[in-house]
Amino acid sequence: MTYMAARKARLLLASSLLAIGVHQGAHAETTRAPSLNGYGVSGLIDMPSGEMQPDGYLTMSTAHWGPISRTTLSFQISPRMSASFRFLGIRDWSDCMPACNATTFGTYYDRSFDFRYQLLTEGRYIPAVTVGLQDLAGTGVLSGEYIAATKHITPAVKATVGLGWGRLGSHGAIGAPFGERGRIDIGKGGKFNFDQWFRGDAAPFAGVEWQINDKLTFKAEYSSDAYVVEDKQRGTFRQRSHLNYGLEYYVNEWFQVGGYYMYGSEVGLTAHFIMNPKQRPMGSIKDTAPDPVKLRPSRTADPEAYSTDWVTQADAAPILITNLNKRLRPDGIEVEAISYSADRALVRIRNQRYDAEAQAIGRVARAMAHAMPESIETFEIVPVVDGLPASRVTMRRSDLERFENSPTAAESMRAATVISAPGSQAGLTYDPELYPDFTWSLSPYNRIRLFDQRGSPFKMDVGARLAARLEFAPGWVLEGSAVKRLAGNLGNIPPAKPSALQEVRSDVERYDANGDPAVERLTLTKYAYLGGDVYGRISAGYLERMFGGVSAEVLYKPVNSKWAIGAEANYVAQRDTDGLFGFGEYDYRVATGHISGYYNFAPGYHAQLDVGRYLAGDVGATLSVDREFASGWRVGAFATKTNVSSEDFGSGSFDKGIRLEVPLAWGTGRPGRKTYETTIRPFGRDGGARLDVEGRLYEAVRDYHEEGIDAQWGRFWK
Amino acid sequence: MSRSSLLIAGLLCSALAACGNQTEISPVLGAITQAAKGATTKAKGPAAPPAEVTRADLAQLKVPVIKGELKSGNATFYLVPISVKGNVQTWSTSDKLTVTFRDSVMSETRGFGPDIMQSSGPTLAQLRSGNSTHRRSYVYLDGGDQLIRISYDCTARSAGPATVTVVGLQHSTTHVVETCTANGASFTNEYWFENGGKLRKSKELLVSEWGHLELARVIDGG
Repeated sequence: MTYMAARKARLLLASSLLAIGVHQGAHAETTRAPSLNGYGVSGLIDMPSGEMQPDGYLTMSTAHWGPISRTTLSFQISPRMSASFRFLGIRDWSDCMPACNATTFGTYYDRSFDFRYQLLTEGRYIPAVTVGLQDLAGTGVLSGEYIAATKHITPAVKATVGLGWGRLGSHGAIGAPFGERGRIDIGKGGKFNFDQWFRGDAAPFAGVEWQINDKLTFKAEYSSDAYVVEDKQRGTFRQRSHLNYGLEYYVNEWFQVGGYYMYGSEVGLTAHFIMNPKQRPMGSIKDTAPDPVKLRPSRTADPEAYSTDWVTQADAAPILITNLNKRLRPDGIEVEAISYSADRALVRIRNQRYDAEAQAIGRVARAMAHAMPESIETFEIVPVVDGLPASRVTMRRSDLERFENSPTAAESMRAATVISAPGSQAGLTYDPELYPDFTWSLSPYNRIRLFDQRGSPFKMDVGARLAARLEFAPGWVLEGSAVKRLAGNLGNIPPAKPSALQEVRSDVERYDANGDPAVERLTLTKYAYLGGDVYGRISAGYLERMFGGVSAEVLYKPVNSKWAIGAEANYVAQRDTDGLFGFGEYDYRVATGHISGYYNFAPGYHAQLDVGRYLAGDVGATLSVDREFASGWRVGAFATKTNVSSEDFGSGSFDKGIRLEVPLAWGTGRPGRKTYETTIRPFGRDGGARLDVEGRLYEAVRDYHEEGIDAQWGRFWK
Repeated sequence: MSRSSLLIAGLLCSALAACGNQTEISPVLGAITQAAKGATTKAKGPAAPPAEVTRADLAQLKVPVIKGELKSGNATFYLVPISVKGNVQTWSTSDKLTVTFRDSVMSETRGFGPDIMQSSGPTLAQLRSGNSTHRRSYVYLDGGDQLIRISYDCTARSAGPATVTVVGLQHSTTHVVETCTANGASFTNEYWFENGGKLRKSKELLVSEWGHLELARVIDGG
């Protein structure tokens, strides 16, 4: 074939699938989720309903009317249980009570937590019934409880009736069935207001929702909320009616907006962003096809092919590594070492690309079927993370050949695959070109501070981050990062709040302001597989923004178990706020460490308990509970209680928060291991603060353990 | 490089995308870059229709060729065989889109996104008979990487003779229509068999939301 003909042929064979990808909603078709209200929970306009969002949904709602702005993050923890975290702002907040003429106005900010439980799901005759606790802890400005029932009257019309307490029982009360509602004992906040729940006056509310067509929904409701504080006490707006009505526009499954006329005096707007961690918006991951498994000739037809002479060939190992890497590099996988005998080969791989570990293993297995001499029947694949072998996946080559195109390919292959501890790593030949392995990047970063009550509740810096990593031998990693601020408003140090504890975290503003540029981290770490099911790490240097020192960790995590146990010990000193190399500013040293237990107590539900000594020298425990999705999403909450009193801790009484981890592949629909993590603490103080060291072992190895691989096993053959 | 030019280089790096030698620094920026590229391509106006591919062009490849079309994606592609294992054949485009046939009936795909990961279905002889009742089952990966199986009850019936044109050449065929239903969902596959029994052309379901692949056997194997 001439060059031109060959070129033309290549162009011909390149598919023209440009248009694909527009409509990748395969399998995403679901019935429409219940609509959300201005509190960001399933409901009408200002009132809740008896419905729940579909399991796992994470919604972000922002609602604004008159002086009131609420932004709410809600998570459907299980089919019947949901929780919300809300940030509230009320403008025109008079500083004299009750509202008077000569006064100044400000904006009142508050945070609130809700919890809802669905007692009944909607049936043919019975309505969906939910009980809810709104703003169930702390200052309780929004506090109210309710029981709400919702029933479809026609497929397009549903009605809600409910009974509210607290602020939801403040208008049109019919009595106080469960006794008087006491005053909230706020203290330092963060306490559950058990004594208030469902006490005091109860008042009915009701509403209807009519889905006019695919896009428009009309809502009307009668509200039982008298807005006593906002209207009568603080004079932020005038409530002239208890009827609210409006229209909502369904842009798509993931975005909806609404406009309302509220309480006879104000115009309201809402926007709801809806995410389903169980399903990528674009459906199944799109990736190039793998090479088909290469079949070996039958041993009887071609016994020569099965010769084992190659085993003694001096340069066999480097040739095999080169051949494997030729096939695997386009897939973002590197073979770093190999060992073999006549009928068995082990490869150590680094997976830089596949969010689904099973897919990386599937790709390596196919590459081995192409590159390995015919006499090799057993494939062993050892995924390596930071030089740490995480597990060993063993399969027979003939099973790979046999099951590839079977109608039960995935199930059959899984049944024939063994996932075990990494085991002996002796006799490896490394790719000589792999070490030292140097990577660097210069990328933008942002740093966000929420809920800063001195000024704006949302502050942010943006800038550039220079990061570099040198793995100079397997498991030996020297890495660091530095940042330079380019713009933002974290530069001003607000007046210091006195802390009864060492300012291990509360001085974050000083680090934000003074550290420009700052060395965030500069560490030398050794990761080691200690044999059996035991992994180890030791790190030294500038471990995090505020502390430097040494950190050592061991982890016991059997490959096939739902639990693990680990221990971490650190001796650290508090760094100077200029983000450079000194420790003199605070002259504070502390030994800190934890014993940690990890337990996957139900499919997709994970708990972690850390018991030990925290940075301020306080002693206590942290419980974290997360919902984990095969897609890589993680949504969870944590709370830490130590021997620091509520008084000494300050606002919030104890450390707690919610955390989110979102995989990029969920949004792009392409393979990738990058995830975004964020932790939201309503009150970040010095009690219960843990060292933020990188490279903790549990998260590094568990992806390649049985549950991690099996969660996305279907992608083995992708 | 002066200090200020270093700074400018750094700013550009930050503003445009991440720099460095890491393979996966900031895929968000990668995605934005891709989107931007898409936008600039679009800005040039609609792409010129691809030049008509002739039978002679394809014959020059000197290998069997199947012309594939995905009507819902307005896409055309050409496949050549890359693997034969017994009655299972895998065909591929040069940019790694593959279709696998079991006994000449499409059984798997890769590279499309919502691919048929595994399946079971009728034999070619059952379809060719124009009088068959059989089951089909398709397994897909959903948007959360879980395998979902959809099974259908199907019948294949002859729809009489038909002439089909495949890249400039007419073929006399028998048209067979396969109708499959499951829980209210249904789809129809079509097959065009030549007198000798050769399957010349077919229209087979990829996934219900996307529709069918049309597969025309243009250049046959020696």
